[in-house]
Amino acid sequence: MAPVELDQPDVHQEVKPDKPWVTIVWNDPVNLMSYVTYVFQKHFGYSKEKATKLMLDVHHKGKAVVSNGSREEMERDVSAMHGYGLWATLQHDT
Amino acid sequence: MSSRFRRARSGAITLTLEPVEAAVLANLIEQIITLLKDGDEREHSPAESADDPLAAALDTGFGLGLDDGPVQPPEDEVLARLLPEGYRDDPEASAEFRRFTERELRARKIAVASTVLSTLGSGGKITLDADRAQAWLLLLNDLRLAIGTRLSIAEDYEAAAASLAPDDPQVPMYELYEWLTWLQDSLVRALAGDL
Repeated sequence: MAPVELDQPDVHQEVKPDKPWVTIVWNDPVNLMSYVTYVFQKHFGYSKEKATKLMLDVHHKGKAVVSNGSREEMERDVSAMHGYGLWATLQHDT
Repeated sequence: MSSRFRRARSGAITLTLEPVEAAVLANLIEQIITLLKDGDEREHSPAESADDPLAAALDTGFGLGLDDGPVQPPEDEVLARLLPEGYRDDPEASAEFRRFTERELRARKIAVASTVLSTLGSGGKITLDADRAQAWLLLLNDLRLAIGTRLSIAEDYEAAAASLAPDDPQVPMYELYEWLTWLQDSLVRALAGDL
């Protein structure tokens, strides 16, 4: 992602999937860090801290699990992420 | 070009554009609408189903019009980025996902672009409510994805852009990309207060 501005949050909790399907957002060089954080807050209702943590995981680790649930729910999330222009896929959590 | 989005005290989002900026944006929006519409006419059935009557019947929803969406990713690299695969290593599941979601995704993106075009005018001050500001946010991102894909933008693209000769035809594209980046980032900041 393009680092227009980077706030380092002091957050360490992980998203722990306990359902069988997950939505993954992958790093790409166009989507702005500020925008990706905004999308995670807006679509998933995550706090600024959680959204920023997930955005940084995408940026530094190349991907992050952003939600989990039924296959149908994850297909809806992935389609929504595509609407925002994020590069997202779903998969069965292994 | 230094226009940027601001939040008024009323909560409305405003943007003041020079006439040339509005004209450039209108041209880009018309191009992306054309791209999203044109590519929708491509062949929907995968070649491999041609010899398989059952697959062909399933592909046409047994004539019931249940699912006539495309199953293959678009050949155009920009369209492929705007309408990505739903699964990473599962072509079969990706095809099913695309069959049921791509048309709707295209329609959403066209609606967003059309909304922005209807608010654009020919320069001057634009005042946006929440829904229209959201449309601008998505449209600016789609334009950056389109131009970024054409330029093969990478994380370290600034070095690549800086190494170009001043008369390189890609220089104006990079400048356009950076202007759209600036505009979009100012809009994210203006909208972040609503969350």
